[in-house]
Amino acid sequence: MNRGGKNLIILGVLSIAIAAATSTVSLYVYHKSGDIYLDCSLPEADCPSARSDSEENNRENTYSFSDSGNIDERALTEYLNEIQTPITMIQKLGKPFNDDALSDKSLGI
Amino acid sequence: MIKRKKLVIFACLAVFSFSMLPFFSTFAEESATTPKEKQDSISTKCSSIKQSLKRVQNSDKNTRVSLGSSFQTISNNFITPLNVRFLKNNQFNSDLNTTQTDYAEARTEFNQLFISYSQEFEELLNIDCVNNPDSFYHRLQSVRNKRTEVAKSVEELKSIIEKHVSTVKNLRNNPRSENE
Repeated sequence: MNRGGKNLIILGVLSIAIAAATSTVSLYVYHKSGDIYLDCSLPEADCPSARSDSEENNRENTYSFSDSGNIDERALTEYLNEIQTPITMIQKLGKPFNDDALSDKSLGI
Repeated sequence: MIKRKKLVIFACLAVFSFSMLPFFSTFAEESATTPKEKQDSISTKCSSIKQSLKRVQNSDKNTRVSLGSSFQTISNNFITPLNVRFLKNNQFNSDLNTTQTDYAEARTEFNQLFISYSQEFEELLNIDCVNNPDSFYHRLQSVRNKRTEVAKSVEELKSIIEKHVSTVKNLRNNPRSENE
């Protein structure tokens, strides 16, 4: 093998090593920082913002109260009506993270 | 003179003992052994317990995402633009401003608590429950405590939202008295 070929192999190995090292570091940081637990792009994360199957979800994400205009009874009534959509979404979840799911009984201990 | 020295030493020891009490109680809680029947149950049903825990973990992820999305919508699409609109109309309402700050802090806390809970949960799943049922059960207790903290932070956010809605209702019904 000539010198150029050897250099090319060294360059390839070095590139792979650097890529592997930087990927490992970034994955470590991603995991350690806790972002992995909040990431909506993960396949198992059922992010409402990423779903387009529900009209209610779309409405929740598209409506925004205008930051300009008068402050009067009509505007505040509209505000109170519209804010009910995300509030209802929260209420639908009941009492999230309740103790029952991890009780000895439900785990069969 | 010797009596005085003894008295000082005794006082120091008493103060030291009292100051160490909280640490001893924490240590006692952590080192309390899991009842034998629970340890046996964990060892024999290890696989099914882990399956149940994984189901809870996935369900929690989805709940967090749904809650996080709704909390974000309320902040970005409602609370913030409303406060901006008040400012543009040269109106100031201290309750609305306080709500915005409290809400932002509560959201940050919710995210941090959820991360901490998830990390603890993952460590629980990594424990070999067949051979280490005692440490598995202790970690499970710790995960439960973290879960309770997450649940409390959700309730805190809900109560801030309720308070905000009630403030806006008051503003609508009594516009003059609320605007400063």
